[in-house]
Amino acid sequence: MSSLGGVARAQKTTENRATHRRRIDLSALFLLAPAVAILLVFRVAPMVYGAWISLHRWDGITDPKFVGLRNYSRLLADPNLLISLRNNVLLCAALIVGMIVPLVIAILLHNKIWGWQLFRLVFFFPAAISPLVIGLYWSAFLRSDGPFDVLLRTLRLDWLSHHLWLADPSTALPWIAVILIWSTFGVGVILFMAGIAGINPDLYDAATVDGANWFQSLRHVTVPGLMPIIIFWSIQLLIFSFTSLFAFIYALTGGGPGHSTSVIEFELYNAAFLGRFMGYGSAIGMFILLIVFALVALVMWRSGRRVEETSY
Amino acid sequence: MSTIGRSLNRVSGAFWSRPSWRIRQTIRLAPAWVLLAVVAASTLYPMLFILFTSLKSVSEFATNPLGPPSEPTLGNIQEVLSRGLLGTNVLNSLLISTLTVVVVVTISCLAGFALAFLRFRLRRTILLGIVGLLIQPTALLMIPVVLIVSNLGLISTYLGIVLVYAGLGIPFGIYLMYSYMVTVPHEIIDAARVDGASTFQVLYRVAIPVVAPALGALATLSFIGWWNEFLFALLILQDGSQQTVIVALGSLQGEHFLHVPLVAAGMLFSIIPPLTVFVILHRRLFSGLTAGALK
Repeated sequence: MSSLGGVARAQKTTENRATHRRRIDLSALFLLAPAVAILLVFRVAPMVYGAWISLHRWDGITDPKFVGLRNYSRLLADPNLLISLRNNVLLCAALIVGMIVPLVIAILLHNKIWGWQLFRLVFFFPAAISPLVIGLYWSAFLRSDGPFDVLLRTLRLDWLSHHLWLADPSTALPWIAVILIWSTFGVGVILFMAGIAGINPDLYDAATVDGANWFQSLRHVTVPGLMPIIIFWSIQLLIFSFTSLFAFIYALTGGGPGHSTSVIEFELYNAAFLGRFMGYGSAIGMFILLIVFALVALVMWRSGRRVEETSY
Repeated sequence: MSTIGRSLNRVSGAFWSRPSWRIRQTIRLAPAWVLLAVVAASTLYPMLFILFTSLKSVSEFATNPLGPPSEPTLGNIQEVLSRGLLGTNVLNSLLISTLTVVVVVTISCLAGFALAFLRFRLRRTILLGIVGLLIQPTALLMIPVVLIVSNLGLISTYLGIVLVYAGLGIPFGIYLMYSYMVTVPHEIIDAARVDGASTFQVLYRVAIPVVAPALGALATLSFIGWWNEFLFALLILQDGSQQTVIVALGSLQGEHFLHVPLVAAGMLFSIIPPLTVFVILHRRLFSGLTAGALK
């Protein structure tokens, strides 16, 4: 009797486990369906659709005509696109080197310097207003008769005044780099402050006991401790610099003079919505995808080793 | 620079209790403080510039672009109001960003819960897909998303732009919710299950209280982010009566690019709502953001 009961119990638990599993699958389906549906329609399908359009010549109205990889060969021979791509790479490099700004500020604020909470709040303002507004503000600020010019003349830097900062190809791109660093450093400060707070203070004492000066403890304690955040934020800035610059460029320079400050997504927009070259625009889109995936993979592959080496 | 280092070596905290050290420290950090104040001036000035300039006439802006207006005028603000920027466009922005927040927060919370607490088939695949979408450059979506939205008949509709924003926003939302929920010890969930709690009771009683701070951060960040969005709003909202204030500002600038004070009046309405939300909720935003990034 008791053995039979055991068999029955065993059967019941397997049955229970199977229904339990099915119930879990069902609730997961219910919980995930809205997310998966939206992501499939608005993130995954567009990517596939874009890849298909990129193999066609299409003005968006008449029937698309299959042209194979011709859009891609045109892309690689387009001088304006290569200028834009170079600009993306330069701005990306500037943003990543510019991480030094939030890093230094985070170290200072971490020491509870007088007014640190107010600084932290105010530094985030550029990240809380629209990139379009940031672009319009800086283009007004840098006008040859704007506030910056008044500031220069007040500081007796007359030789720099009346300069068309954003219309001069040699100064426009450096200014855009400054504006982008300025727009994002507040977020970096928040992330780095949280990272520094997570570093074991004993490590600094140990470094001091070992005779480390400030730079050595920065180099051997702070930076390694922040490595995961530095990598995380580098990847975010990398994606940002290849895909989120449209509103900035639109408001600051419109890509000009010529194409000297254009970026790759601006070329995509112009090709698709001004020139109505849907196929060519989509090929640019696929190209951006390729670049970003390759660069992110490179950073993760390189840093995967570094994180292990520097972790303690 | 050595001041930074010396203070860096002393973060252990014991020194803070000594007032004399604190005073010396403050003096030592004075140059750094001046530097921070200059940076803070650069991020604070835009708000002043926008306010001042919106109250100036064109001729006053030409002679006095930097400081406060000497003869304030409400002409620019009246003109912007008459264009419906406050009435129609600000209301559109409020509606669209609030709806997006509700959709993104709800969907991310449900999906993050399923991924963190339930062991089901395809779990790893979906998780991997979401991480993949986090690094998808969204610029490539411009052309196909416009075509898809237009095929669905949703061009120039609130639903169209909210769905596009949800698609852009939920991978990060799910990731944030997921990274919070996986920190809940499994014993708590098991205990709830033994007590006979259903999956949805676990969601309401265990998971949502745990992610409440992150939910607040996600809602704040989404509201600010989608209020400020320009490119997809420009592409999807082609009809003036549905346009957000940011798109209206773009066309204001296009028509009156020489009339800086008028554009500044438009900028004023574009920045007040997100800045207000940010200043009120910034503590919650910062703590939720950092915890999400550090996990």
